[in-house]
Amino acid sequence: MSDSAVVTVDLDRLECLQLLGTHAVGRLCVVEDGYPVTFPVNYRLVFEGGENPVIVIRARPGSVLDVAGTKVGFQLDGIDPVDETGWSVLARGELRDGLMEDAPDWLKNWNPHSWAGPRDQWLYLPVDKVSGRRLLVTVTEWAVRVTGYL
Amino acid sequence: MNKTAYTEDLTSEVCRTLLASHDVGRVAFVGDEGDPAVFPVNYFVRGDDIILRTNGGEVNEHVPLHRAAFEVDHVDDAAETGWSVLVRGTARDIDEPLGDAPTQSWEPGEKARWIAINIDRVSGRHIVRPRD
Repeated sequence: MSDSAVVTVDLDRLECLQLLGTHAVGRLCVVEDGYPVTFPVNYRLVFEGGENPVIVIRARPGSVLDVAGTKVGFQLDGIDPVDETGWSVLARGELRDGLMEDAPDWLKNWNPHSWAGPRDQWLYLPVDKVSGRRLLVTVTEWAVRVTGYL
Repeated sequence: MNKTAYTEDLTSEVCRTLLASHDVGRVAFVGDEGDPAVFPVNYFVRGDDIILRTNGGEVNEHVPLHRAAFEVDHVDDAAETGWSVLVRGTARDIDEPLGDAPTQSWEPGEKARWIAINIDRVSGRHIVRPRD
């Protein structure tokens, strides 16, 4: 039998980006009526031309996501309920409309329609402030069970 | 040819059942600069409250609690289906709940802070993908 401890490790920016880059559903959090409303969204992490990466979010027209220009949080996590470990990443910043004039050129040229339908809008969040943590289970000691050897 | 998937609202009863049958969700607070912070926590439901424990470090950098949100979901990225439940509520500090509180938290912390979110409103939706 073993005893174990759970250790929290902060993730660096690269690790956060790797996790963002290998998933496709995250949670967007937008303040509405004072409440930080949170819901799952499809997204892609897009890198191009040496610029800072960008989280591109697919949105339905007329949804609460018609609030480009507001401060949001974007979160995703992987929880292992059996081991009770996991990881979590949080990016925070200002959500912008993908079709706005001040979007970077390379993003304007990026075509989201391979995964966003023709009626979809898309919004983007520059990955500026991002943090994450991982929980690790470490085995700290083993207790000897004599009967296991007989 | 598959019909297009669509989203459908869940009834309040279904939302509460989903809340009661899970134990990990995400709590969200609005930070000092107006940008929200979201992070996963263990929780349980007690009456009209969502009871959760943070390790203090994440929440103490805020913010009086006030309006908070709590979200639980299951998203199957491969099948492109899923559901999500959202609670809008008012948060308050509470003493460590004894008795029926699960004692394990998936995240340990030296300065545990127990919080109750009183439910103001529950909503939810799921993605329906009709089969031919």
